[in-house]
Amino acid sequence: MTRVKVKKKTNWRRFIPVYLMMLPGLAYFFINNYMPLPGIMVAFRRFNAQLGIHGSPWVGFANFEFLFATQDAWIITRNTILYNTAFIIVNTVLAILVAALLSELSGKLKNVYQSAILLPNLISTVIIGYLVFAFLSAESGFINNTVLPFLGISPISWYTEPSYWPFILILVNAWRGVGYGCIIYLATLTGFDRSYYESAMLDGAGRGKQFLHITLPLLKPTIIMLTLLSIGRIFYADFGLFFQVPMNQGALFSTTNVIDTYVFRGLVQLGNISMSAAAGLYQSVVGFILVLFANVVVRKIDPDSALI
Amino acid sequence: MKKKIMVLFTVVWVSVFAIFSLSACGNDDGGTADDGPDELVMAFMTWVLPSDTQMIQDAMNEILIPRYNMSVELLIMDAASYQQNIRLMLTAGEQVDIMNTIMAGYTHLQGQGFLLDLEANNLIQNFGAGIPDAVGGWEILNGARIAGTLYGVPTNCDHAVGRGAIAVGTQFLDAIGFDVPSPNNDIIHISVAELDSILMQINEAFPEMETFRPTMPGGITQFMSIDPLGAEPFGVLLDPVNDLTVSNLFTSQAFYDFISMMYRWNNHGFISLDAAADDTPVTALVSAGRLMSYMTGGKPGIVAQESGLCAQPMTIFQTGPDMMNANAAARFPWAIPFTTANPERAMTLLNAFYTCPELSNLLIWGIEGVHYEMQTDGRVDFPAGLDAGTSGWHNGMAWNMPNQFISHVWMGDDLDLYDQLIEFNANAQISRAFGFIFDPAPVQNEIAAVTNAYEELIVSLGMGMVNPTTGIAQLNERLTAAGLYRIIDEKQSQLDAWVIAVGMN
Repeated sequence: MTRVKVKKKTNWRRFIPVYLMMLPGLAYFFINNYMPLPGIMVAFRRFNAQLGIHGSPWVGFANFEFLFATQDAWIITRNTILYNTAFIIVNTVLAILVAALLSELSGKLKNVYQSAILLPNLISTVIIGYLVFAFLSAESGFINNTVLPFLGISPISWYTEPSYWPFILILVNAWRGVGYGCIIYLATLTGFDRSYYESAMLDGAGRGKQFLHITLPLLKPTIIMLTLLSIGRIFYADFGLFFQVPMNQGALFSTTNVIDTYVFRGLVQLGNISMSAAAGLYQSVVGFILVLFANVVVRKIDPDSALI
Repeated sequence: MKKKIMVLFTVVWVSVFAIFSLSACGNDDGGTADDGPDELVMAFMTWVLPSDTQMIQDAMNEILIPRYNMSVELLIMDAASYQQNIRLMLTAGEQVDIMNTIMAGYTHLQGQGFLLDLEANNLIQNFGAGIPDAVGGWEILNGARIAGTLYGVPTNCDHAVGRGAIAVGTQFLDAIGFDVPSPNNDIIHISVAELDSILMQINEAFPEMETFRPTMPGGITQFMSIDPLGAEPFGVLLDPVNDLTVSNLFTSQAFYDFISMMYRWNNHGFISLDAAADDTPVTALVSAGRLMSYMTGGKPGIVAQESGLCAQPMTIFQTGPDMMNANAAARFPWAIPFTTANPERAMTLLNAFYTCPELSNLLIWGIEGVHYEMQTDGRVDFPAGLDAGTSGWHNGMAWNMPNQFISHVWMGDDLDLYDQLIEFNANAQISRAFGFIFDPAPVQNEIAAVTNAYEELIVSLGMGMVNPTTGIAQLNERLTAAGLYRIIDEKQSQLDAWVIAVGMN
């Protein structure tokens, strides 16, 4: 009994430096993620600065109404979820493929490829918007003036035709996100025991078979974890992507308006803190529920890969 | 050895953390020393942060300390972050004594309780006695009242806007043989038909250039002779001088005519196919040699202003009247937020900036000999070797400062610019609803929905890319479904109540 106690104490002592090293990170999370939590109350109140967040009058769910009271509610919810689902699928598939290809390379060229593929992730969305505009502009764009005439197709007015934008946005998002996404997969891949591949080669398995039967199964826990994390943010849209890249074009709203851009456009005139807080809270709660639900599904199928 | 490294590591982390937490909590209390001058904070925005703020502040305090026993700290933020920063500061209770309400929104700030009543305990009467006269009398000051209470003081600037104004590069007018007056300092008043003919001619003479670029959606309220009763035209006065009926702009004949004109101009190839997606400022397009004309707002000094922005002589045509909207005096007034250390001292400081030419000159133009030199004709200009880019204090914010009318006139503007502006405001048509400020609180859900539907359709319609008949019908259908008429009804009932409250018949 005493021995155990002593041992526990020494263990605890031994980890003091580790705990201390954790402290700044914990402090960061406490200050940025936990201290503002009581501020959620502002979503249920009519905010008045002189009365403060907790003194302002209680209005219940009135601040949430604007999200549902509109005919656009269905469109923005549908767009947000469908786009994010497409982003998760497309980016995950491409990231794994790129990671598998990169892992086959070696030497200096690998670094060049990896940097080149990561570069778009470091470009500001505003600039990406103009890069896309350089391609799609009606009068001076590369596609309308070079590509389409070459193929004998008449010019397309990209910024007034909503039906093209799901493809454009998914493409742009993949171009921007794949480099970043493949880093984690590549790091995991490099850690795999090479002997699996060697024995597979001895058994006559080609690259494709190795990928399907070794790489993918070994990557499964990582894929599931990353996908679960993405599902938690499925109700959040990347504001820059949906606002800047279509150049805030009204004619494209039916396929580019998502919850975040809707809230921005609706509230920029009103400047209402409570209504913006309500929108944010709604997105977080739905995201939280979805991630728990997805986790339950994963636990049913593969208990080892579930997060909690 | 290992242990020592661990200990060292721990000590370093702990000390870093301690310093971090000390500096985070180390805000000075902003309180005033018992015997020193009162320390006040003045907040406003500039487009680019100036580098000589400290120098200007010291020069101001040389005047303020002996005269009023107070000193001022200039809290300057750039335009992009002003709204967010000022709201955060006020929400956190940080001391700000006087501030400009631009970007943050005067009515929003008031609606959320950030601003103090300037007449509580006769504050303005006792400590800001010079302000009413400085802004052109109580009739202007009353224009900043929200539901009868005064929360802000308008800046001295152009309250009216010359409607239907278009800026055209003078070189293109010369090329078609248009007789541009010399000197070309004043707005040229013409009819819409004449404007139409001028644009047709420059379009024929320079087919390779973009002829005209409408500003959308802001151009609608700037160009048309209507009063939007707020920022967006959701429920407007179609005949603001005579009629207080709130109407749907989008079903009006005037709107149909305006959109039809844009449609016709677009079909003549005036407007670039990229106009809707390209957000390059029109003045930059003109100075780059790609565009010939664009919408603007008429006012004294506009010729010099637009010529400067376009880096070439511009001619301004105006087809409509000069008109003052209901909220003309409530767009970006100066206010005293609730986090002031002392409202009486704050009002005294505000009064000083409205009445003291030395302070106004410091605030607007900087220090003589450093940021400007007096010229022989009484105007001021950059000292040798300085320009707008290299000067440490040249903000281009005169219109946003309390009182530019008591400051110097800058080179390039007419020597009597301020008299012209006063006359411009005095002679403009005034909306009968001047002084009415719409409170959006009861219809916020509708405004959020209507704004989204409006932004979806208005730009392509206003740029003449959609057939007016079908486009306007679609716009009305969507806006009606989003609740436009509930906004109109609410505006009308607030306006009717306001009419009774101010005793108008």
